[in-house]
Amino acid sequence: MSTGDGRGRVRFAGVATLATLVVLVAWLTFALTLASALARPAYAHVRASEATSVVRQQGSTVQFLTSIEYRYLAAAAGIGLPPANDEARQRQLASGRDKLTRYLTSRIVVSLDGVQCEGVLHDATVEHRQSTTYIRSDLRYTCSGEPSGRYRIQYIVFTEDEAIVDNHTNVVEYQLGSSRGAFVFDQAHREFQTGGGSSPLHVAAGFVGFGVDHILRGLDHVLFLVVLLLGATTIPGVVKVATSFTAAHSLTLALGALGWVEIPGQIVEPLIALSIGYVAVENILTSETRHRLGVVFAFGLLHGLGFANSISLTGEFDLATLGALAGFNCGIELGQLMLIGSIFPILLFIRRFSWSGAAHTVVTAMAAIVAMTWYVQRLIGA
Amino acid sequence: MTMRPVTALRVLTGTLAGLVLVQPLAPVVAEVVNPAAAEVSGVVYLDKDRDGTRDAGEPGIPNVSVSDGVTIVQTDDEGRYSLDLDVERRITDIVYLTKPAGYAVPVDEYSTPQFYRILGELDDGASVQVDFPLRSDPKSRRNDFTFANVADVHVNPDLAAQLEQINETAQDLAFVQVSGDLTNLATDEEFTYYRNATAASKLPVWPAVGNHEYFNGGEPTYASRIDNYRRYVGPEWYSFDYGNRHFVVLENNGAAPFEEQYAWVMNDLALHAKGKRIVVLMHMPMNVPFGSPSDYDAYEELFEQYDTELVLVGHEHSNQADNNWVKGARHVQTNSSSYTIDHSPRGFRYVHMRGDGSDNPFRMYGVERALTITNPAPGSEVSRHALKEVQVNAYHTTDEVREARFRIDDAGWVKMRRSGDFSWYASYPEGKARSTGRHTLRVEVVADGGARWSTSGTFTVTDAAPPRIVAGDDWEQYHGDAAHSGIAADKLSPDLELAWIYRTPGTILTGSPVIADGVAYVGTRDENDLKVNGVHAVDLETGKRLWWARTDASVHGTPAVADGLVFVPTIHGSLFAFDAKTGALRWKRTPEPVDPPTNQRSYSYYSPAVADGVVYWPYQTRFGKASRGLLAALDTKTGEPIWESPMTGATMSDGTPAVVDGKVFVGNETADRVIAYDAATGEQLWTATARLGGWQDAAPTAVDGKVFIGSNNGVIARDAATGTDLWTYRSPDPSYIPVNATPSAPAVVDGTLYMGFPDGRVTALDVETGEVVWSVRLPGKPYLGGVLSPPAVSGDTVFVGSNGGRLYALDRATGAEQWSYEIGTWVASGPAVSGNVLVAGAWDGNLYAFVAR
Repeated sequence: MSTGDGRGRVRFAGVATLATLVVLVAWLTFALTLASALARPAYAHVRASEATSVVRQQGSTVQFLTSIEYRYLAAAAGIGLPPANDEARQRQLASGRDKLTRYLTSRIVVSLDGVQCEGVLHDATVEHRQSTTYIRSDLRYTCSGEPSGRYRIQYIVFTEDEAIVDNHTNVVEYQLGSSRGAFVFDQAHREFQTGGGSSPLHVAAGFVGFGVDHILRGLDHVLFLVVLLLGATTIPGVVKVATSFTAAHSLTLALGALGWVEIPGQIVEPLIALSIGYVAVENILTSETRHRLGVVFAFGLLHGLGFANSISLTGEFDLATLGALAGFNCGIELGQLMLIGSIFPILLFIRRFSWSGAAHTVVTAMAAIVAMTWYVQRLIGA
Repeated sequence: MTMRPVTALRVLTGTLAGLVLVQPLAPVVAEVVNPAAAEVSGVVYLDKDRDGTRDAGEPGIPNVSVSDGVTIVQTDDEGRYSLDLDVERRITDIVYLTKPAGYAVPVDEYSTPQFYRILGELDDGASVQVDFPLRSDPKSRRNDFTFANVADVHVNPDLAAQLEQINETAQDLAFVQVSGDLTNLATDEEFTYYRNATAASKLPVWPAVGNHEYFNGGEPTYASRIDNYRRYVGPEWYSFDYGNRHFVVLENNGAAPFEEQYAWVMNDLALHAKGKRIVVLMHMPMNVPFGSPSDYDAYEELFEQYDTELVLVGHEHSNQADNNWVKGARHVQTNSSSYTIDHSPRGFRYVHMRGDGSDNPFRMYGVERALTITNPAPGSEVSRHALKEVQVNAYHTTDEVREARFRIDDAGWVKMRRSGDFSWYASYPEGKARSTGRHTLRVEVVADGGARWSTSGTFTVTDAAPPRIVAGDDWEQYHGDAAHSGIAADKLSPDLELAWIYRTPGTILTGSPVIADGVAYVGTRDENDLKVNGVHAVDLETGKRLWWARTDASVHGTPAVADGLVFVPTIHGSLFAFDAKTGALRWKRTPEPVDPPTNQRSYSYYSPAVADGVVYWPYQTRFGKASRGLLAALDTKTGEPIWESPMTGATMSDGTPAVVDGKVFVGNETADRVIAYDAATGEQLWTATARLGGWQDAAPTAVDGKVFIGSNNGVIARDAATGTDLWTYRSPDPSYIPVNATPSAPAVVDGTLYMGFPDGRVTALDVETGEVVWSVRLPGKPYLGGVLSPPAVSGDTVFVGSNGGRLYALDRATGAEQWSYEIGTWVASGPAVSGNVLVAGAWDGNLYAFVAR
């Protein structure tokens, strides 16, 4: 009996342990199921998303620091479904950086006195606030012009035809020039402009430097001028050629910058290179041709379109825009004058020597080679 | 002849300049000369043996339209077609036909009609043969037919069962149609879930693209985002014929290439619409701010060129009818099978097409052979002088009740008449049935298709004189007063008996009756059309109609009465001021118009509040000053604005204002985001952050320096002066209502708050701490449960309705049930108390008045 009792107890203990185990497992399963059910993200039908931004301007740089909900920005930029953890998210931001840059810089457009600033995505990181994950994007815009001018921000993130978010607001706290304050972008409010603004003359002055800088840095324009100068023999000749070039490029610069004429850089850029080559070879083949002025005018039209591609106006035709355009053009002319003023006297001086003819030909030929190399590069690269 | 060097240079330069144009222009030229296309050709034939392959003796069918979504070609006399399909337009290429009347297309194992064929990703220059089998279907030549309209099913666990319910109908349904939002995120898993659910349907299920059918894990191009939809359920836009109806299925969610679809629809209508009536099926509404992009208004003119009859949409998860978009056509929105936003019971519609017209009755899911005797109530004692009528509520989801009859004891059967979707009534018989003592009432109802069920109850007739109704203090606006405290000035005992029932043909949902100067007012919704929406004025003593007035849309909110006027809100965003005595219209405020051809969009799902000669009215429009929601303070006499102040949302940005101590509180957007305004100036004082993550329709209660508002199966208390959160409370049980809609408002008195929750609980909380004083869970079940009704407190009793189908009186100290009355359908409306009467509205469209014994 005693043995039987003992065995019975053992068996009982075994059954009890088993029962406890079963109950435990059942509980655990239940708890896990419940937890996973609760953990399932609540599905919001109205996809409302609030973003915040801080905008700071310092000198010619405007920093636009914005936190936009991760899942929606990822969808809009097309970088993929949001991963589950931050490490993977950070990787996704790195691999999708180009797409993110394209999306953000084309949809958050900063301009100063009617001229678009050049935007880059400086950094993009993952951010958590309350229980929502955001992409914190550090956008930097380089603005030409007088930093105290009138800033405009166009914000077209999440449009109706993207159908990603039903309701998006971005609360912006800003400091731009001497303006400070807050503004809310939403579906009905896509644009914001700081008050005040400078006189058109002031605006123009701000863009002169940009124009000078542009022509001096634009090697192709410099080379074109150099080749033209090599072909000119007299001061009146230089004046005529320069005037023709200026008139032509001013015309197309205005038309192009205002968006009235649009020819893609893919076409304009190789043609600019070709224009240098043509003038150079013509210099070698003949001395000052009868058609030179017409040719220069035609090529000037091309160069103007080239200038226009580097300045983008907001499309609004007002005095400030005109001022900016005039300033930019003045800068180009100023740069051009500086080039002519420094190069032509040297050329005149060199022409006193007998070897100048040969040197002329060599330099011109080199210019032609460089130009044709550019032509080929731009044609293929385009 | 030799060429001069300069000429040679010019020729060379010209050639090189020409070369520049080659690269950019080459693709354009190539596309024009030889577009990236595949040739798709085949035969549309009569598949007599239904084996899906063309056998000898199966003739081709001429004049059938075949399309790739851009080009539409028609089959020749032998049923042959051929079209060039642009292989770069989408990722997965599809060719499809427009099913003609008199024919059926086969369905796949998921009940998706196979009017289309997936071709994979075709290569440029490919040539494929696709034959389409059609089956003879003489039934589909009939001009009289019925189909089921379902919307916004999302990834809803009940979907298969819902489709089974629809399939169970005794009616001969032609098909089921889903107005978009089949999924949430358009992933493979979700489409698989959808298809496995539609497999439960024996009827074909025609889909449409909702905004939740865009997949966001790939490239942000339309081709990439719509590819999952195409692979699982077919093309984004298509058409089919049934009887003399031409159905056009559109994608109006915004991302589709607008011109592409518009051109296709123009061609489709030109080819098919002549002599037919047009039915448009698409996802997004065209009349509310939370709807299709306004570009799609361009379709209005196009559809007006044809005999367009009906536009069926979803998206807003609400029931609504309108006739403002395409002239001559009803624009009907159907609520979601997943969860609703206007808090209506989840359901679908039967769309009955007749040769010359149509109707589209809404049907709620999940009710099987329901039958409740509402008068005289089983177990009740009734004075023989009060025996005027017999009334029952009967409902069966799948088939409408067609007949009802009753008998008392052994007397003969008496036929009953119908009111609304639920109620059947007849005069109480003379003679023996009126003798004092116990009687048995037996009721039998028959539904379409012959299903028959019955119930019975006993009641006692007494000789006692019925209690006289005496009106007391006014309960003149939502939840009793401008603070929405829910407290009656008069003390009503919970020992109640039915005084009268006032029947309307509409529905009463969360909008509640109000009482002023001995008259009860209630707004009604029309779930299907614009016929029975309006406001009713009912004599409190007799239950007889004094007047009724139709409004421009459903009255979802609660009217308010002041200065001899009744202010009636509509979901169109209009506020009507009627003379309280006569019902004459005194003034009306409608949403600001916009310049054509764009249409204004507007709504308001809330109630106005009145205080000190000012009526506070919230609404939202898509364009103009109310685009973020607008709170307007209007002179009660003239409707002239005193101030107008914007709210803070963008979607469903409206809310019921509460007015107290010179401040106005509004729950905005998700409702739990409360905004406080200065009542005199409209200046915004503070905006609280949304905390509970819920849904709209809750109204604030502002009492004793605090503001309370419900959301997401919870309630939050804030400091009225600063907006600071004081405490939040979540009701513990799983909600009967999917996504936890919490439109109830707390009644607050003497430091205690009484609140209803969608999990069926009515709970008393300490206003200082949010701690539970008592909590009871009222009975409910899926589709029929939860407390949406805002409780009314009178004396020692809390009166509240439940979606379980009853009206309750609970002990204010303990929550113990003291009295209840079965109405047999949702009582989501809040009771109103005045004098010795309680008036409650129910989903059956009726007002029930109870008087203290």
